[in-house]
Amino acid sequence: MSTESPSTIAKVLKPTILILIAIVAISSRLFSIIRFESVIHEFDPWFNYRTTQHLVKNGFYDFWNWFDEKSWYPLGRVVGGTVYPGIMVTSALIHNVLHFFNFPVDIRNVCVFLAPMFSGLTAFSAYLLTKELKDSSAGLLAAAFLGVAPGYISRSVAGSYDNEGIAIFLLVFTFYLWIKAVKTGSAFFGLLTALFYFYMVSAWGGYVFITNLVPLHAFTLLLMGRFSNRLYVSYSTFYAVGTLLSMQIPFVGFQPTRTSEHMAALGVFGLLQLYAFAELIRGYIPPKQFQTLLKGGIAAVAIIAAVGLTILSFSGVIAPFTGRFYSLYDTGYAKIHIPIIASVSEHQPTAWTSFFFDLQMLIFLFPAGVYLCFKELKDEHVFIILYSVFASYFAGVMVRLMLTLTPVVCVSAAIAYSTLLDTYLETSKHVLAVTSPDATAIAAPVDVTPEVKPAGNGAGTGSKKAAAKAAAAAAAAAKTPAKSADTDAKAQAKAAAAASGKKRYPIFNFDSRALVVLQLTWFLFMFAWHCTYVTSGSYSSPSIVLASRQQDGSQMIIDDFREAYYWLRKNTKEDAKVMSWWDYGYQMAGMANVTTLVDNNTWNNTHIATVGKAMSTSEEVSYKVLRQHDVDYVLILFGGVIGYSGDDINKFLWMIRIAEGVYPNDVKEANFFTPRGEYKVDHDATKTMKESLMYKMSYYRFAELYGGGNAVDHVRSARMPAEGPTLSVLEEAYTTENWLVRIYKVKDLDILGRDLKDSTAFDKGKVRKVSSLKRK
Amino acid sequence: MRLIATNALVATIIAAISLTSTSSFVAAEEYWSEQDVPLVPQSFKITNLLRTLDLSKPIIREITSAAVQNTAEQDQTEYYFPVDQAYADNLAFISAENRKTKEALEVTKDDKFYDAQFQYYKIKLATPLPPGEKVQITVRSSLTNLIHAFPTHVGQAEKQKFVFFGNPFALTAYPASKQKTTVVTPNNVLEVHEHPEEVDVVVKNNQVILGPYNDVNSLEHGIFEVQYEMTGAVPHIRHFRREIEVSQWGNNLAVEEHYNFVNQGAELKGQFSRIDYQRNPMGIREGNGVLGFQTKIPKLARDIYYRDEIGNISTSAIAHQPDHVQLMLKPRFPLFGGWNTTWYIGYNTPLDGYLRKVTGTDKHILKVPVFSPMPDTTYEDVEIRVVLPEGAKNVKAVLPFEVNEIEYSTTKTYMDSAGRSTVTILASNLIEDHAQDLFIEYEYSQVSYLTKPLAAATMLMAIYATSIVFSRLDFNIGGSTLKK
Repeated sequence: MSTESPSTIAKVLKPTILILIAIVAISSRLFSIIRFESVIHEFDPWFNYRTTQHLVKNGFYDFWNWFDEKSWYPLGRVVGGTVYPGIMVTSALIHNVLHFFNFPVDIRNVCVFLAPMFSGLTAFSAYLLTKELKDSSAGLLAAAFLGVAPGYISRSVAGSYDNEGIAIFLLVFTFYLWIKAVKTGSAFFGLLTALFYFYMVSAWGGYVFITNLVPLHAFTLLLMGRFSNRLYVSYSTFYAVGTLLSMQIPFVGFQPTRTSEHMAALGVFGLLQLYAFAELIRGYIPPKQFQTLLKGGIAAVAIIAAVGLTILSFSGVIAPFTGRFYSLYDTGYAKIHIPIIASVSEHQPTAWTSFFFDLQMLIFLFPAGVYLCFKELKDEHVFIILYSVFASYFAGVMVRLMLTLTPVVCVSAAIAYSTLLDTYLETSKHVLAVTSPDATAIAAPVDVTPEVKPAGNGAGTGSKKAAAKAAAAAAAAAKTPAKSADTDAKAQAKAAAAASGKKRYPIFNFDSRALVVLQLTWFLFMFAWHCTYVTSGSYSSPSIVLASRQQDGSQMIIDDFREAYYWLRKNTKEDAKVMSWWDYGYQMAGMANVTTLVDNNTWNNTHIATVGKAMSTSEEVSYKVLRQHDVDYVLILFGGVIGYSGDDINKFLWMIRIAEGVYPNDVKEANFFTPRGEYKVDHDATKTMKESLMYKMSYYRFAELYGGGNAVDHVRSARMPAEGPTLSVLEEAYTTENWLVRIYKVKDLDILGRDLKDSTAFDKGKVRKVSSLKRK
Repeated sequence: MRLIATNALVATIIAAISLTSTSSFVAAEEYWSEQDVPLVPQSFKITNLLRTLDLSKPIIREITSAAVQNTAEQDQTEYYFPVDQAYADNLAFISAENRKTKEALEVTKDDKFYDAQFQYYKIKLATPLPPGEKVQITVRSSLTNLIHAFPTHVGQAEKQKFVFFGNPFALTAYPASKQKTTVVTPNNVLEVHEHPEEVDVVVKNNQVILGPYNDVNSLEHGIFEVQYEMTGAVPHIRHFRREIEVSQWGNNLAVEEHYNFVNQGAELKGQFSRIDYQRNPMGIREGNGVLGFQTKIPKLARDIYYRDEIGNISTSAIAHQPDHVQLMLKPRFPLFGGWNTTWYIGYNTPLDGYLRKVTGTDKHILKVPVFSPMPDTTYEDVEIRVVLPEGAKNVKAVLPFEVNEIEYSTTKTYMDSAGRSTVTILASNLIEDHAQDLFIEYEYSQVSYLTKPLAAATMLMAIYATSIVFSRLDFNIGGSTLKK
């Protein structure tokens, strides 16, 4: 062993560690597979899965031109032009390659395991990125952090077959390539950046983040006076190739030239050209003339650009910012203007606790890492700083964007952590060789030792400012030698051992070093434990299967969703149209293989509002809507029997709100609230509520389950009236074992031409009141 | 008055029956007009015949027990048993035995005497019957898809009723001096209508006794109809696919069975109501809903799974019995009349006991059950695929019963280079009785054991070699010397 140089060992160790990290990253995402089964989760993944199946079965061109008549009935959906095809193409490619080599892996398994596999690659790209910023040991830490950080796991567990699964890898990798390009000024890396940017565009709508962050980086460098040919070459290559490539995706189309979200990239591109041109001219004319020329030029360009942009914006050539974009600036915007966006839980602002939940100790190390970046402040560090600032903001605005924050948190936390380790693990021999034998310099750290201890303990109790405290303590200690020893010395004594061959002030005392290192190791253990706990507890439920514990401790699986979907799939006619709230659209298309009216794509608000109207109006009104849309079945979720809170009655207010936005005459939210302003379903429910189709479908024959009296809705803890609602335009077609899903069949028109209400009453043996005859 | 009512009912019933059966009546009608002369040599006389038609299950079992006398001059070895061509598709299984000795007799489909009306089955007597001697022969046949729910729709917990149309006489190729038919139904017989009217009928609880009749001509025809109550489902598998993969390397037999199921009982009237179903759990027994299936799999089976197109079906149970594993499969939803579902199950089991090597040669003989049957279930369309190890040659399948087609092909799967020999067997209208063993003979040399590891090793070598070459190549523009 001794004959091997450390670098040889490192050569073997690094790939081994990286492979182990990848294995850990993959295996920690397999909880749901082990606990349940290899199945696609949630809602959106079902659409991706269905389109992937189509792609594998019918080939790429058919997929590209696929008009899906089974969704958004009767409108249909041009799938090829409205999806980000990256994830589907990736899985289909993997599937076909495997099949080419005679590995008959089922496409479902490819889809289920895609996100975990890519998480291994993400960890690797985090390593590469951090290596560019600091060194490979920080890179390994970043890879390990990103591999298990719950913030990323939340969207990439096995079965969570969604765009984000591959997009985060692409995001991190594109950023790595960009940094590499800026560092080397190589057109090759610029091109690679563009290629991966294209892949990213094809995979996720979040590509806009790259589209804005990279130009911002370039612009900031420009403002910092750091314009260089490297920047010019890399940005120009990236922008030109990347934009052209991105326009090949039909869903993106001409957006890069026409929407405001993409204008920054274009602007910076132009600016760089002008700047480079100015630089060129500066080389040829005397400085004084150049000054005048520059001033004039800047003014002219600024005016032309401003006027041009305004005209183009107002004339509609450049689309203004979309609503979704506005909601990133004003969190209240969506609630007022676009209820459909606000109704999605993942679009809600983030609660501060979820930062800790998703990132644990990384969130404390994150600022320290950013601070260290400020200290270095090379081109690539500027990028990380910008990234962290913007990602932090967006993560605060929308829960979902926690995902984009996680990589940068991992990277900067790794930088901070690795710097700490560097400081405290430095072998004295090596340090002595580097540092000058300055008595005061050695004395200072020795004095630090007792101070660091309590600081370290403080951090152990979970203090947010562990790093900061340590810094303060170190600063206090640094007073002894000379208060005016200036800030430089302070910072160095603190933690950040600069990687370059600057003077170092090592900590010799073994106890203090051991203490800090042990503490840090303990943090790592805690972090790993927390990540596993969160992953297993919160992020590994497939959500199409509900698991609960029985009294004897055995697991009980509630599989009502699939029960209902499979019933629909096997026992309704081929082209049955099933209406439900949009949440279940993708699942129904994927699992039940029926035609749906609305789904999770939510591109047509009016259509969704129509469904909302059918759900929230009385039978007579909604029957017209149902007939107009050829609806055969209506599917709803009802959790009242087993206490499943995500049911349709709880979502009902959103349906009403969305319907009211389009049909203010038919639906009024106020009518669903009691005079005291409460949302009630029991005796106190308003007349409108009780007459609404949703209410009737939910509670149809519900009270009978309790044998008359004492019927209790377990979600809303409401005591229901013994006399339940009656239905005349619908009939119960199927209700699942736990009543979670209820399916109703829309009755045909009465064969005698009667009102369905009358014919139902007649069938039940009720004679129509004379008064009602008279009225007619 | 009563007679008219009955006739009206018969007319309605006939109208309600599907088109195919109606056409068979038309054929029968034409047939009565002329006296039939059987094509087979008239070398026997039936002295006494007892026939039982068992309608207690959806699959009808017919047992015809005849005392047969040789009336010819020579010894006789071949006895013919006619089956109406109209029922040719319904006849799933036929077997014969000597009633005295309980010795099974060989039954073959005859292709010499054949006409549009009758298909004869040739029963080979174990010992030649001398002239004037008697022998007692029992023929058992199983008939599928012959009963029809009437009324066609019933409520969730309602009892369903079935009608059966049949020949009141036992169909024989030889004249019978005396014959009697007993029809057994699961519950009390509701109604019996007979045609021609001279047939004597006695109805006793759940039995209908037709006859005895004296001096019945050969190929005597008539029609009678019985309506009776029968609870429970009429399980029918539209398509059944069984895949068996043999791995001699892993000493493993992987089995996967795909089912496409429909309950052919009376269809559910209106819609399904969960509350009625939950409030009256016993009521379901009265109706025809299927709550679960039972099937047996080998004792050493492991990695058992039960899934359908959208994933695992969590409602199943396994019971370990001394000689097998009992699988209790519950579908996602109760299957009422007319309801469909699909599922598949699979497991692995050690190859020992299924594969035998003929000592001294490369010859292997694989013996596996055709399928693991579910009781009272009809399998309409059956596909059995047996994938043999890569390198198996001279494959030959031997089946215990007649099948539609046997195909030999190759399949490529994990780590295959040449592909594996595959036998595909297509059959139709199978029932429990067909669940016998099928034999596949093939040659597999010791060298073939090495192909797989060699292929894997070559592949890895290729990867390493490529990576070695690539890592030594320099892709820098201008070459590495420039950079340094």
